[in-house]
Amino acid sequence: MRFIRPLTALGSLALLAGTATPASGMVRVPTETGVTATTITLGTHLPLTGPASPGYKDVGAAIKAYFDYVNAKGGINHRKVNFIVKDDKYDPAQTKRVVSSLILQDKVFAIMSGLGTATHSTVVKDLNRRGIPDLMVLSGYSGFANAHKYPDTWPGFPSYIAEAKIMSKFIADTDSLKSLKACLLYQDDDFGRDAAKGFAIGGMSFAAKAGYNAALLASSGVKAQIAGFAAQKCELVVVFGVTAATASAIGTAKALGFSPTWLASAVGADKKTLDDLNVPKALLTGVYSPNFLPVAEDASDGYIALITKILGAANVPVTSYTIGAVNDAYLVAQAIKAVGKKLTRKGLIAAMAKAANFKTAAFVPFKGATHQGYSGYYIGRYGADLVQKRVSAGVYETDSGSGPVQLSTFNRPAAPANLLP
Amino acid sequence: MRRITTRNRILGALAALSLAAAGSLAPANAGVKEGTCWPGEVQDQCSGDLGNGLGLYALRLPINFNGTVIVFFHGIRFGRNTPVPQSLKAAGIDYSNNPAYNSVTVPGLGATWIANGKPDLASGGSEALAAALMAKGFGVAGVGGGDTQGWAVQEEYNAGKALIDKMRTGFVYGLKRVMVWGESMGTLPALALEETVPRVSAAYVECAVPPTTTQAFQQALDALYVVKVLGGVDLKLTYDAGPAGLMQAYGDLNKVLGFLGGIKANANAVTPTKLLARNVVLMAGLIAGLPEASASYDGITTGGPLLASQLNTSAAMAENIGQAAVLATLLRFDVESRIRVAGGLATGSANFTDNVNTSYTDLLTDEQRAQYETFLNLGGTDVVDQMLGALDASKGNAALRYPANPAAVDAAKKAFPSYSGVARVPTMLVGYEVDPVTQAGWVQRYVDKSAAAGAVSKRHKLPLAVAMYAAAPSDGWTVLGDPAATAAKRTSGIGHCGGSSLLTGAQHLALIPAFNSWLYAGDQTAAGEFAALRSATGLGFQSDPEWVPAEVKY
Repeated sequence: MRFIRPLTALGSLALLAGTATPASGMVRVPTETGVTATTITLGTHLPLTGPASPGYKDVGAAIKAYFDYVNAKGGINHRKVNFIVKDDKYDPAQTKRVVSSLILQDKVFAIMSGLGTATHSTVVKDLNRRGIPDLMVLSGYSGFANAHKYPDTWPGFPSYIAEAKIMSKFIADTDSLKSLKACLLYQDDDFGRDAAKGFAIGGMSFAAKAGYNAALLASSGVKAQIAGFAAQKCELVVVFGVTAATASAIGTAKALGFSPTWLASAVGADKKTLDDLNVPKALLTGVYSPNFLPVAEDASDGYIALITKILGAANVPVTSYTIGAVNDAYLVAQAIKAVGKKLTRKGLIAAMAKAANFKTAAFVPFKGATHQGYSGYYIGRYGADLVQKRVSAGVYETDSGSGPVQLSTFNRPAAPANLLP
Repeated sequence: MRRITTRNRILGALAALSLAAAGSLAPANAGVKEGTCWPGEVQDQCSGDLGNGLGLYALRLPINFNGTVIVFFHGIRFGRNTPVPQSLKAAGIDYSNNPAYNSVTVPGLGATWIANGKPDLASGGSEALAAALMAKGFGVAGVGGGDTQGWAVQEEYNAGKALIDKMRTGFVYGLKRVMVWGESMGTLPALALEETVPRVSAAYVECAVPPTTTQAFQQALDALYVVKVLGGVDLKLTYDAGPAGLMQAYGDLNKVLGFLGGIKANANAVTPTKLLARNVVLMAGLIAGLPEASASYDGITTGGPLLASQLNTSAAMAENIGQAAVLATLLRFDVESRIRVAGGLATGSANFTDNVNTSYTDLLTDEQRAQYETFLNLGGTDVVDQMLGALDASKGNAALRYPANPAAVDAAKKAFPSYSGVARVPTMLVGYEVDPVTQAGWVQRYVDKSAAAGAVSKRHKLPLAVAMYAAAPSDGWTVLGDPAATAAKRTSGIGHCGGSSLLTGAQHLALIPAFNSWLYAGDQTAAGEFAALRSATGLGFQSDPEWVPAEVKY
C-alpha cells in the first residue's frame, strides 16, 4: 500500500499557487526551476537586430530547429525543450535586462549560446551566483573558461588565445608563410587582447599592428589601418576580428592594389555574413582561416548531412554559425540526457564536466572537465569555389596558457544515425 | 529634559484610560515614576536635552503606543567644520528652509548654512513619515548628535546610548522594545549600538555606510584620484588644518564640479591629458564601483547612436562622481579635522586613507572591462591600457600618491565607532539599487557576513540579518528631452537613500511594521510579511529574492 505523505507547509502553498504540480497525481513533482514533468525551458540572448545581427541572427533559429527536431522524436527523457530567444541588440545594458527576464519571468533552467563578450560579461557572474548552467557561450574570450571564477560556465568557441597560438604555429610550420612580413589587424577589445597574449606565447611577432574599434566598423571600416599596412608593404595580414573587418580590409586592399596573403580569425571569415553585409563573397578567395567544424559544403560528412537536414526542415540558412549552433545544441541535449529523469542544474553542471564523452561534429574534443571547451583548430583556405578546404597538416590542439600547440590525436566519433541525444 | 507638568500628567492619564477602554495592553498608571513619558503626550513634551553636552533628543509616543520606540540616527549634515556658502544656492544647494540648518556668517565665506543639533524622527527628517509611523502605534525618537554635526558618528552614538538608557530606565511608559534606525552615516552609530548595547532589540538600517569610516572615504578618494590623474585636474585630496584646509577642500570641489560641467556641455570634451573627459569619469566610477546609473541617467535608454546606452552610463557616472566629490572633499576635511583633534595632530598629514599600493588595474574587474572596453576605446586605440598604465605608473610611489599617516589611521579607529557586520539581534537593511553614495552592495556584504558567522534566530534558525532592496524601474527612467517625465519615472530605488524616488516613504512605512512583527509575532511571521512585501505591486521592492546588488570593492 502506498502512503501519500502529508504536504509540508511550503508544498501546500505551492499547490495553492498552482505551481509545478501535475494533475495526474502520481508523477514525482519536479522541484528544479525550468523543469516540469514534460518540459525543460532553456533561453539565450542574441543580437537578432542591430549592427551585430548579420550572421548571428540565425543562431537562435538554428538551436530552436534542433530542439524542435528532438521534441518531435519524443524529447529528452520524455521532456520537450522550450527554447526562448531574446534580442539584446548586442547592447550590454539590454543583455542584463533580457537575461533577467529569462531568469525571473521565463524561469529558464539554463542559458545556452549567449553571444558576445561585452554582452555576456554583464550576466556571467549573476548566472554563476545563482547556479544557473551557462552553456556554450558564443565568445572566445578566455575569461569565460575560468572554471574557478565561473564554475557553471562553458564557452562554445575555442579561446582567442588558443586560436592565436595555433595561427602562430601554422605560420611557423608553413613554408609559404613563415618568411612573409606579417602584420596584425586586431579588434580593440578583449578579442585583440587575448590575441596579443596568444601570439606572444606562440612566439609570433608582427612588423606592424593596428587596432580597430568594433563600434566604428560600420561607419569607418579599417581603411586607415590597411593603408598603413600597404605603405609598410606587409605580405601577410592577420585579421583578428569579425567578418565585417575582414571584408573591409580585403576590399580596401583591393582598391589600393595591395594584395597580401590573408589569414582571418575563425569568426572573421563567414560567407553568409558577407552576404548579409552586401559584400561579394568572392573576397574570401584565398583567405586562410581556422575552423574546428566540418564545412557546410562537405556533403560527405555525416554530421553535416544531419545538421543540414535539420536546418533545411526549418528553413534556417546553413552557415558556419548555424552549423556550430546545432552542434552545440546536440552537445547540450546529450548532457541533459545524461543527467537522467531527475534533472537538476547541479546534475547538468556535473554532466557538462564529462562532456568529453559526448559526440559532436568538432574535430577536436570538448574539454568539459577543465571548462576549456573546444580545444583547437585546423586551418582551412577558401578556394575559387568559395569552399574552405583544410590546408594544415592536421588539427592543432592547445590550451589558453603556455602549453604547447600539438597536432591532435583525437579521432572524431563517427556520425550517428541521427542527432538525437 | 522638559518637566512633566500636571496638565501633561492629566493628558497622559486620559490617554492611558482611553487605551484601556479600547482593550489595549497599556497598564494603569499606578506606580509610574515622576518624569515618565506617557502614550499620547502632546507633541515634544517628552523631548529635551540629554545633558552633558550630548545634545537634543526628541521622543513622541502615540496614544495607541505598541510598545516599540524607534530611535532614529540621521545622516550627514554640514556642520561647524564645513559651513556651506549660501552663494551655492544658485547651484541648487539650498538649506534656507531646512530646520536642521542655521544661517551663520563666517569670516571669509560670508553668509553660510551650518547644521544645528536638531533631532530627526524619521528618514530625511520627514515629519509626515514620523506621524504615519505613530499612527501605526510606534513611538518615534531621535538624537541630534550635538552642535558640531558633520561626521558626528561618535556624538550620535553617545547620544543614542544615553537616550536608550534613559528610555529603558522607566522614562517611557509601556516600553517593550527599542529599535534603532540608522540612515546613511547614521548607520554607523545605529549598528554600533546594536552590537554593543543589550537594550537594543532590533536594528533597521537604510543605505548603510561601510563598517568603518576609512572604508567610506577610501572609495571617494580613489574616484577622485582617477579624475586627478587621468583628467589632469589639480586636486589636493587631503587637507591642511583650519580655515586654509577648508578653502582647499572647497577648491577641490569646485575643480571637480567644473570638470564634470565640461562634460555636460560637451560629451566629446578632451582633457589636458588628451583623453575624452567622459572616459575619465566612466573609468573613475567603474574603478570605485559606483552605480552604472544615477538619479537622472538610467544607463539603459539610448538616443539612437551606437553604444549610446554607455554614453548614458558615462553621464550617470559624472553625476555620481559629483556626489562622491562632496564626500572626498568637504566631508574628508571634516573627518581629518576630527582626527587632528582625536590624535593630537595639530599639523602634518591627517590622511587616514591610503592608495600607495593600490592597483587600479585590479580594481577594474574583468567584467567591467569587457563590458565597456569598446566604448572606452572609442577615445583611441588601446586607450584602456593607456589609462590603467597612467594610473598604475605611480604604484608604490608615496610621493606621487596619498600615503596614510599611521597616527591618523590609529586616531580614526578610535574616534569613530564601527560595526563588525554580524547581527546580534534582528537587523533589517534596506538598500537602494542606484545609490551613488552608499551602494547597496554594503547591505549585501553585511547580510552575507552575518550569515557566514551563523547569526540566526533562536527559534527557527532564520538569518538575523535580512536585506530588502528598493528596485529601480527595470525599463529605465531616463526620458530624453523631457525632465518632467524623467522625474515621474523615478519611482523607486534611485538616489542616495532613495532620495530621488517617489516610493521611499511608503517603503519604510510598509517595512517597519513588518519588521516589528518579528519582535512580537516571531521570525516566521515576519519572513512571511517580507515575502509578501517583495511581491507586492506598487511598492517597488525587488521581487526576486535571489537578486543581489553589485559587489562593493572595499
